[in-house]
Amino acid sequence: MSKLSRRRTLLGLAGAASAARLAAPAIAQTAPAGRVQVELFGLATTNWDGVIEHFHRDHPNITVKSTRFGTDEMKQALRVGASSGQMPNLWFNWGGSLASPYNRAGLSLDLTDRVKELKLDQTLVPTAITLASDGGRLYGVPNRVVPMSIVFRNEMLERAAVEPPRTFAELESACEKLRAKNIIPFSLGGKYSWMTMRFTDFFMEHFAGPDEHDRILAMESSWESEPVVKAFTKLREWVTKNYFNPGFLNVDPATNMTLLYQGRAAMVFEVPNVDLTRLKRENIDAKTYGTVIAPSDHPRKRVSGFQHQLQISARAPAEVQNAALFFATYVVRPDLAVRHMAIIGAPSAVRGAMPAEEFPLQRQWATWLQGDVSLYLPGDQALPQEVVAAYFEAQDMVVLGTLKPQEAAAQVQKAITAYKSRRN
Amino acid sequence: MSVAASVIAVPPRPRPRPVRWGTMALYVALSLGAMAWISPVFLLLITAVKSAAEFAHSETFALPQAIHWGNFARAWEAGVRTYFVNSLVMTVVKVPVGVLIAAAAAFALSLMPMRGSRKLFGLFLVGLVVPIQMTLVPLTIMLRNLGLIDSLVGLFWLYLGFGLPFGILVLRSYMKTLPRELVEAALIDGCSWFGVFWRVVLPLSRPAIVALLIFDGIATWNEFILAQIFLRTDSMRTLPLGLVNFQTEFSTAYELLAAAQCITIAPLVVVYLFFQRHFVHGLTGSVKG
Amino acid sequence: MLQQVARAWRPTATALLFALPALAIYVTIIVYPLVYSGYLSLFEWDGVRDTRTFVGLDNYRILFNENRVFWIALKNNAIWTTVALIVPTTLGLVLALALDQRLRGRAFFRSVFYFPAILSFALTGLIFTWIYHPTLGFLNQMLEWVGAGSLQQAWLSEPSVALYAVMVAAAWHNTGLPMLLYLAGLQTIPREVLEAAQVDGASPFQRFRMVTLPLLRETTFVVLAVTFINSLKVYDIVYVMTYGGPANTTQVLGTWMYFLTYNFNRVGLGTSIAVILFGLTLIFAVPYLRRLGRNA
Repeated sequence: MSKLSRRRTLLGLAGAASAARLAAPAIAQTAPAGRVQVELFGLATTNWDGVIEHFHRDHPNITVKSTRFGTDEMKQALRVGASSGQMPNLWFNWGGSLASPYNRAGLSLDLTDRVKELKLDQTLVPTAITLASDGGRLYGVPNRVVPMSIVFRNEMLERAAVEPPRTFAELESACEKLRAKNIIPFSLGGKYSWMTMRFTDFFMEHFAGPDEHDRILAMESSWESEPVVKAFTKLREWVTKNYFNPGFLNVDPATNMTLLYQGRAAMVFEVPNVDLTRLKRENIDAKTYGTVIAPSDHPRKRVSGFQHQLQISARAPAEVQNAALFFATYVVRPDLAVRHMAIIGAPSAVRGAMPAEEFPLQRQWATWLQGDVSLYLPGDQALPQEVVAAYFEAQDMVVLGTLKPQEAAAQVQKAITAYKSRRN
Repeated sequence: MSVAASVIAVPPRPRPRPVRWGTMALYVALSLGAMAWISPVFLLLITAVKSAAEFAHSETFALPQAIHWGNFARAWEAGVRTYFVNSLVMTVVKVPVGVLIAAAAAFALSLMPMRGSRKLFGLFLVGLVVPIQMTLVPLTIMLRNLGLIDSLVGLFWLYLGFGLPFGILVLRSYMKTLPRELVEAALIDGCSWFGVFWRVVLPLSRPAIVALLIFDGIATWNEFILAQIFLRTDSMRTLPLGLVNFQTEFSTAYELLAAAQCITIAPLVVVYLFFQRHFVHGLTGSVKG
Repeated sequence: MLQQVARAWRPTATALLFALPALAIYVTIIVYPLVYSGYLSLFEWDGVRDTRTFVGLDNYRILFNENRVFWIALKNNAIWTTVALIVPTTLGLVLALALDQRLRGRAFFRSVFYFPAILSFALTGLIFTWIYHPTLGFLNQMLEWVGAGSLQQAWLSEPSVALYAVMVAAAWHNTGLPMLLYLAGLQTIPREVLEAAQVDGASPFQRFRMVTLPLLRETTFVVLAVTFINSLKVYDIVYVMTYGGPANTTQVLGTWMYFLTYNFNRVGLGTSIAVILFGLTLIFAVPYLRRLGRNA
């Protein structure tokens, strides 16, 4: 890793001062001189081009070229990039075990020692940094915090005379009432397994409680335990009670909202960002939708969630690294946070940044996250990827009914044991 | 690149057979069958011309109220243009080059005196049955070392390689049916081997060459696995790869997805309609030789 | 003496020159990777790090003894191959027989039935995935509309149905080529033989069984060989339609190899599957290739 120039320029202080709402100081950074090109891999659902446009105007000497990937294509592209030794200069990543292979292989730039210099600890919410951290070190710049929330279409709940649920019992009763009115309670797509996992994780939080859940995810507690088995049982129960859209298991997750648009389903388990990425795009009034915290019935309110970060290639030439890092911090500049949130989505990782009025779901969640709601990493980031494969398979087989919940739990535990023995 | 049929390009003798069965019954059966057969494509077409609102609120198989040509332009602008151009460039460059190289090898294996000619031919034939999966990892390593990952140039060489066995098979079979006397006469006249190849054999092999150009062109246009593994950035993507990534981005805008898929098919349809004869006549033939 | 040898080999040398570009590219792109894959299957490697561990045949042992999904994939390939050898081939034959008549518009029908074969497998997969969507797709909606709602299925989500649903899409694509091959084969049957049989009082069915079918033997062999080889390789369409799911129930060797190599970073296991795949292919490929070589 090359040392960056010691010349620092504090940028945007004037801008920061004018953003009266935001008390955090501007991120200190070096402004790269000379023409540089940065290659960015971003998710298709994130409008990086919007931010890039602004960036090009403010810093015309740096060109950012972005390529969009679907969720699973992104995982694929990063893996292929790693195995062919050609990572892009700058890439989006989740955290946990989805990012750690790149961190461990030294492909992503280690920013831990520069956190103070870049003022990341002052600018970003602590949760964002925690969720992005890998073994206590930071390997990217988080820009968004993504909680999993229950999003519903108001009209559908009204049709069944259902109030937004605030306890687990209320949630189940709501599902029953919706079913009675022939409305599909939850719409999801189970292909690739991660959307189903949102429910399984939620059930585990409900039955295990925050502390035990953390131990389960850290593989300290055995999975052959009551909370896990109960979670799998509950999943199967919801399937047999038809709380999910029929045949969801191999349906593309990207199609989940369509059933809501068509008035056939009521709720989805989604990121609150859908008011930007979907509703706004489809010209649907976001105020006709609402959101609640998935009720786990524990005093410590937690939902599964993660962060979006931008990682920088540790192998890129120095000027490209500088420029890439510059862009990554530009995205989370406090004075620009609100503007960028409206483009790439919220809640932002930047402290105190409140989404605009036109995004009620994001606003609601920004408030909650700044309040008393905290996040735990979802299974597919908290667990090592090999164990995730077993988790996904067990979960899907529970849905199909080909595995009993106890067997499913045992199957995952077996994979955990195998993983641990392979490590030694 | 894909499967090989045992091919010898033979122009079919026209054979009018006396009609035996109830022709009407046959027609009806065939027509119904053809309608059912083409219905997925038909569905694709009507989806591509629906407006977004229409799509969301009516059944899939309902006919569109009005034709919404705008979807094609929007899909084009949203990225299909890049994919289309990449696929086009790749096909237009790779196919003629590949056919030429295959023709040269086929010529050597069929009409030139060569020891071990049959063994060499056998070696090429193995490539017909090798599953692509067996080559992926070493090719990844190879291209990585050459810095050709995520490059259309790298993909070009891969496509060339995979297209050779089939091309050599087709052309060698055809060239073997050419009269040797022509070759011998040209040699006696003082023609060099290259001259024989270029001025005698190639022109005479035109039917097989045209058929191969078409077949290989289509296979190149449609190729997915290699593109998926060896291309990444948006600007490099070919159509099949771009389409699959398109799915997530326009997850709910099915009319755009359908429009993009139609754009992919369009050149194939054009080629297909214009060169139909060559498909049937050039590519299939008696196995007996 | 040397001169004679040189003269004998000169034409060969010139011929080799013509074949050289093809040979060079071919060896680099296909032969070398083929051999190298076999070599890689003897190692444990994650595809990223520089170090590899030699494990000999352990990867194969793991596949056969410990890898449940390997056996699922093998079984699915067996099912796929069996169906592929029967359905699109027979359908192709039937269509060829129908279209071999003197029929007005037979060129049109031929085009329609061959058309799907020019589409890519990925595109075919996308089109049919959409048709099979449980709530938004054409098939279930149509069933509802004609009152057969009880036949509705989660076509791609129900393990007992999913693989067959994908096979329908594949058959749609794969019927065209057998049809063309059979059409060509039928062309070579001398009219006189069939007419003689007719004169002898044979029914159309008897004529087909006793005359046509035996004379089509070569074509049938080609059709079956090509179908067999291709069905072992199947990948794109399964990947696009089911992603090997639900719960790995529709994995085939081609997709499982991809998952092991690229999703789970077990390159040794992945290439072992590729080697096994190649071995299975050779079973039918060798006689096929020998015939090709013989006829040429």
